Amino acid sequence: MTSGAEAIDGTTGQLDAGGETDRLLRSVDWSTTPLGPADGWPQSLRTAVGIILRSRFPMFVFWGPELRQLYNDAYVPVLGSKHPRSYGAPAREIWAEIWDVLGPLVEAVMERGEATWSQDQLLVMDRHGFAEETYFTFSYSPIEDASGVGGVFCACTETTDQVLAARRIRTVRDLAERTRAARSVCGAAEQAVAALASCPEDLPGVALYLVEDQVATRTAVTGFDPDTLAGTVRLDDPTVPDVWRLADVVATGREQVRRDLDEAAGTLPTAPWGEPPREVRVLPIPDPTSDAVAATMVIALSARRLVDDEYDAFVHLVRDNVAKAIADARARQREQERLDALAELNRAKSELLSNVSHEFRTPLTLMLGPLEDALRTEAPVPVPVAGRVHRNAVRLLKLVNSLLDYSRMEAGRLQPSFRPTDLATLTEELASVFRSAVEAAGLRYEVGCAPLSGPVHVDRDLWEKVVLNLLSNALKFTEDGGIRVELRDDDDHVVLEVGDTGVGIAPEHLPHLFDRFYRVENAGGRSHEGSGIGLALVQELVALHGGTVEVDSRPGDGTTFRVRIPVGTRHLPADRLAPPRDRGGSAVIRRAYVAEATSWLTSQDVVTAEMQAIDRLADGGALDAEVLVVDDNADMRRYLAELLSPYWRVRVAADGDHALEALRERVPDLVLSDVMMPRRDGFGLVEAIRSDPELRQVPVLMLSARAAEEAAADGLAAGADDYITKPFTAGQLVARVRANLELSRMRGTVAAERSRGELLAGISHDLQTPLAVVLGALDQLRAGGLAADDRRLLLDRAIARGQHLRLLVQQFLDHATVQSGEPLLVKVAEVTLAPLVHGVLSAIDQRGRTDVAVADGLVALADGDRVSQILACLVGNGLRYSDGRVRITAEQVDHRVRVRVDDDGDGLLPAEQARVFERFYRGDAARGTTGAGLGLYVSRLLAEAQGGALELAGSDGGCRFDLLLPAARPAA
Amino acid sequence: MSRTLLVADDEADLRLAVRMSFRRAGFAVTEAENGLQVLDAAATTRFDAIVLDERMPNLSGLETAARLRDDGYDGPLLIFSGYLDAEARRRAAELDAHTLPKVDVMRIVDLVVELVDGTG
Repeated sequence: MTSGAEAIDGTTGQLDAGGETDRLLRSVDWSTTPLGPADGWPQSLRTAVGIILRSRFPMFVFWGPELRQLYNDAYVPVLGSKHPRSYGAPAREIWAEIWDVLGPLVEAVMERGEATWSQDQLLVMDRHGFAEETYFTFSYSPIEDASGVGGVFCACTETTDQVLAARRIRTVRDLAERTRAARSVCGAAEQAVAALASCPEDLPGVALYLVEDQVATRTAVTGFDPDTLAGTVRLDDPTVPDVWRLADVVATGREQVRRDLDEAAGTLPTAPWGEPPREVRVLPIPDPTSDAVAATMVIALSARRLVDDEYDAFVHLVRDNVAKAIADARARQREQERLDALAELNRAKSELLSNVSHEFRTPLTLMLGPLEDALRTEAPVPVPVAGRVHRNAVRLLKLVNSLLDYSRMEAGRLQPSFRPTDLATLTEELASVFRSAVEAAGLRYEVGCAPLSGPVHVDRDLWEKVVLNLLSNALKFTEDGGIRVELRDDDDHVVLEVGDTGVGIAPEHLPHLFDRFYRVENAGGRSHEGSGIGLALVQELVALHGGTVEVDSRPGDGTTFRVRIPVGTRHLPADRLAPPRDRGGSAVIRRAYVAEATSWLTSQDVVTAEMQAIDRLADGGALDAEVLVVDDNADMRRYLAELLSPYWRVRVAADGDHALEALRERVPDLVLSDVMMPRRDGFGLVEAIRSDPELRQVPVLMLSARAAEEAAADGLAAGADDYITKPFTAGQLVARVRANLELSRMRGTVAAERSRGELLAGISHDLQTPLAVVLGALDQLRAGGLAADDRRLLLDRAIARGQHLRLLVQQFLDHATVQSGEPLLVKVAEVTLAPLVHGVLSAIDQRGRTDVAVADGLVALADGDRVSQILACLVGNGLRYSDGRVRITAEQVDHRVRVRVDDDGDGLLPAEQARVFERFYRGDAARGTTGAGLGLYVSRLLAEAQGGALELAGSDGGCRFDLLLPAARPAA
Repeated sequence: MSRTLLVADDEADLRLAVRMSFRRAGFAVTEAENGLQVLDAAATTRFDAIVLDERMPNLSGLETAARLRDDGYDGPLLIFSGYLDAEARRRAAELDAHTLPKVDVMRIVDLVVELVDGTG
């Protein structure tokens, strides 16, 4: 027997490859195999085996119909546990699990002699006791023997490590890439998991839970069926199901390796390998800025790979990158929140400046105007005016003081002195300051400040501001009902409640109520004035006393503020404690609060009283125009009225809603309106005026407390005609009102000119056709030579048309009479209607297009000529506006005679019906109606002058007019 | 052969006066009450001149004139009207239509004769 190696040696020279496969080659008894004794092997096989034995590159040969596999030492690791039993065994048996891939390749070589090339080919081999994900690059080439292709030669290399490494690097890079721009922690978690989802081979399942306040919340999942995973897990409650023991991971900060997966079997992903993982890692994701666990991640590992060092390192690299992504996103999120907060603060500050400037401008105007006036005229200032100037100076003082308090507080420079104080007495005293204002507003006022069990440590000045601010607020926003002040002991606290039955505060505003500069827009109430620092100041002042302030409010029901401060001194800094002192607080400041509140009191009674006062002011002036003054500030309203009433009639309104009521009652020649007002502000008023056809033309002059450019932009954009900024002088205001009135009057004149032109065109059209008939007929008659019939016909027509001209002229005359204020002349007598109607028709119905049904013996008490005039107008219209027939019926209805004229034309549009009796109204222009628009107007006046009436009784499918006249006799 | 004229006006009285004037001048006069009647008549007969009231039911004089020109009528057209604004006069000129105020009714025959003879 010749061994394989000897046979090969014999053909290729001494083979001394040594090694395991060399020994195998020599030890196998090849004669028992289909390959036959080695010395009988074809030369090409022997050469090929010689080559692979000598190579250190993994190589093998499949030979013969059974594709027996012979390989070298370098190939042994590829085989794993298949070696050495696979040496010389049929390839189909050795590689049964991947024959679906290899078979077709081998076939191509064996049958067609084609070489193959496979790069990084996935081969799921079973070589270590489990189905393993492997990759190979290899080429099959034919080995020829005498009868053709005798076998396959293959050089191959396993590329599993490279393929896996490349894939894992790509996944981590993708993760970093996708999370780079995430602006929130959630977004980063979602993007991270989305990146990991692109690598299901290594990461068949990932679930990321963000941890906050002892709750883990599932934020992103891939691979796992989300329905089988807990959405949230309470980490501090051991009774909640926690399959992945997230609580342990968060508590210990240690990773868990789970191979006991029976209890989790239902949740495990089977894709992409078709079998569930055998190992799951539960990893803590640390927050690098603290020691806490920011998140946990459940990762199912591939069942097709051994978890080697590389795999383990990859899982931790993923964890580190997710941790970084979350931390970076959190930092960006915090940065954004900081920027937002800064922007909000800036916005609020600009708002404050704008509001404060408004707050300054109104009292300044009310001080400067009268003072300049006094300087100019050198007349003494009347006491009421001086009172108003003083009141507004005090208001300014209050405003300046609040701003100072505010800025001191902001800078931490308030230096309170906490003294033991009889808080009940002090609070009652402060409450009494507001009593007259509250009662003047028609509100109930309940003050309950029973003595407390002992003195309370407060700073008197600061407590005063707390109470006055809350009371001022309550009065501002309460129009009906009452205000309640109550002070009481509550264990080791005292509680101050200020409740009202005012407009209340919508829930969305409540969380911001104590924010600096926060103002509730269009809140209603008595005034829109306010800087938005009052309640912020209250809260800070209460906090200085170690207390809290809360608010309960329901829109429409009212609001209650509840201030709680502790008794004793433990909560107060020792160096700010001071001995008792009875006096303190400033009478001026108290007066300022009340003065401001009083200026809001604008009940309709007050406005009515103002109107009467203004009427007295206005007596005897040259009052050819009326101005409506709209301002919520009583002082400002009075001042404006005083300035304007020497020149024009003045009415006043306290806000936009009242102004609209006044406008609809009577349209003034000009509206002068403030911008900032409760309920409907100035812009809302302009919008309402411009969208009302009856009011659209009224010029609106806006009074703005804002800077000139802004006021112009806002006011004019809103539709105002002009604006004037506070502060202004009396002269400026009067000049501006006069200019706008004159401009408006000129616009009116232009419109009147235009309508006069249209009227003349209408009249000339009405006159031309009858005139042309008369002139044409006269021309023929003058030329002579006509047949007698023709001559009579022409004369008839000319006379009929002449009568029509007479009717038109009569209408103009009647109109002129009415215009001059004189009554229309009528001579009432008994008129028999039948002959009258026939007379009218013979003059105007040339073609017999009328049907008449007038009872014989129907007699009216009327002016016959005037009735003819009315009927000529009605029937003439009917003939003109219909091509069909016109019916005239007359009968007695009760004590009246009704003459009805029906045509079967197109009827009137609804808009036309409403206006058909208007002077100069000529119907919808698109319908080509013509004339002066006087016929029906004059006809109705004539009917009324005779004690009758003229009505449009219907207008669908033709018009129906009823002329009603007093009957001469009672109904039969 | 006498000259032919089509006159359209919704006012019978006016047609009467115009008809008599033209008959005296030797025209054969056809009457129409509105624009559509004009178009029907002109479709079957070639008139030497056409006189149109501007304000008529269904088709105005100008609209009728425009259709006549579209249909190929190239004879003299006269728009006889109460009042024409500048825009209407401009449109008439574009259609090569002459205009005459109604109160000038006594001049209408002379004007049409001049137009018909002028165009041969």
